Amino acid sequence: MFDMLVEGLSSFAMKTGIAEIAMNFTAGGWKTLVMLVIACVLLYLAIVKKFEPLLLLPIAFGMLLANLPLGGVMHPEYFINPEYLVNGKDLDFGLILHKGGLLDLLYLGVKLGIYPPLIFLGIGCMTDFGPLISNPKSILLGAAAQLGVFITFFCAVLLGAFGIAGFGADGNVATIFKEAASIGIIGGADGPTAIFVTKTLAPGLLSAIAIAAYSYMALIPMIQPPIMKALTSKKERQIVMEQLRPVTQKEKIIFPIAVALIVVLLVPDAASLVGMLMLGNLIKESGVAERLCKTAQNELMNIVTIFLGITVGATATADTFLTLKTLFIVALGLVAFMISTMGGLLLAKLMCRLTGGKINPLIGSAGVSAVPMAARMSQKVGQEENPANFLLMHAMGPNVAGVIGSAVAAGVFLANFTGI
Amino acid sequence: MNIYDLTTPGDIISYGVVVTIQGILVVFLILILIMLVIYAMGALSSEKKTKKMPAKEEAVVQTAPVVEEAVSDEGELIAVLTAAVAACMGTSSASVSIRSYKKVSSAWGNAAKREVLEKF
Repeated sequence: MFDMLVEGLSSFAMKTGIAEIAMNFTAGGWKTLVMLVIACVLLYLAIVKKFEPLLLLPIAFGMLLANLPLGGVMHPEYFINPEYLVNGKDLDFGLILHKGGLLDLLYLGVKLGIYPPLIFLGIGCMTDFGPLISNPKSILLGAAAQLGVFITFFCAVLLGAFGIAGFGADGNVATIFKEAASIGIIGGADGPTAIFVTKTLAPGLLSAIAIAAYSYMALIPMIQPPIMKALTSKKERQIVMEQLRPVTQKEKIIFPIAVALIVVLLVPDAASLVGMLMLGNLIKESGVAERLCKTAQNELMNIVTIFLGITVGATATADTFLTLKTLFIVALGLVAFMISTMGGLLLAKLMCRLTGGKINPLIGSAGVSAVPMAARMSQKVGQEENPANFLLMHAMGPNVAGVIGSAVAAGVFLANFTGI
Repeated sequence: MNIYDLTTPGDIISYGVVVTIQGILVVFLILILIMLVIYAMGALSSEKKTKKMPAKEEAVVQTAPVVEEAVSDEGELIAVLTAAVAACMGTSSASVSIRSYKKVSSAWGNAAKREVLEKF
């Protein structure tokens, strides 16, 4: 009787996650522990430091759940390991549906490109393109602030070409470009766009890129102001801009339709992101579907955010995350943010010169699409120099243009590198 | 061009340069197109406005009274001021008459704006 109890208990003990970690400690068990610690640090950043908590909290918890051994809630290998893919490239849906855990099934929404466009639908419902329509020039700042995306893409190509830090290690030229594109898009400062590009081009880097993108977005109040002050003179920062003209409802309704037509006709790969963004905006501006607008920007977006966060976090396994590459991604992501900020500021400075000082260059940095943090920074830095200056609405123009700009940049990458 | 023909680091880098420049150009091109469309849209709507001003105003008020908040009509502004003063003094608006009004220095206005903006 006692023997049986001991036997039962010991076989139970051998089936626990603790035994799994302890027995494989040198063979990789320590990596599991490191991942758990990283997950807890991210939880700390989300809860105590309030770094984008709506996303970082589910991401960190997803990471925690997926790295607890034997839980089986997530099998990232079903999505990236060629052994589990049909013909080495297509998803084996039968395997995923039969053997997958909870997060595997939810992750299909990321992998099939469903969640990011749904989030864009909600963003469209919350975005007012009025400031952009009343000052159309400011859309150029949204384009200039994509500079960081492409320069960083090029930096990552350089790393791959010379095989630094494991870039291009698999000997496949296409991988170099795909990974570089996914890293570059961090500079768009747009989480859903970054996730959309990465899940298509470099799914192995998804967690690192998502974490870098969302962390830097939270750090914008620290990253941007020093660059803004370094690149502008005191006199420029004090410029008070003219009041924006009122925009008619008709213009606001035509705008999303026109943008969807132009962008989707020219960059079809951006169709799902830009299409949903503009649908959301049309729902809002038309004023005839208020219920849909409320649902898209509240309930739907919250639900999708939970699914997106937890599954993106769950792709962070020790093998893909604890690499030198991750450190480089984090560093390149910061470079991307900084260059994007500079790009916007420099073009705004040029526009300031050309218009004879009618444009405050500070609104340029708002071209990075982190809405509304980047615009708020323009407001804050401007007000430090001139307390009676209100740049927020002027900065919202480039800010919302940045969202369109980074979706177009994503479309360019997808058009070049999908399916090669 | 087939990407798998790129073998040397030099080839890879030069293709990287091509994609980088292509990307920047495409983003600018598309956003410039959108800018032109917005300008065209603005020009069209302001043209119509100048042609038949009164009729247009009526239509706007009817269809979207909430959107059009700009107070262009002086009578309307005086009515608002009268009501505000009356509400403040606790009397009826019949006993208040606004003789003149002037926009004061914007310290209070600025403070109010700042308070509103802080919520964002």
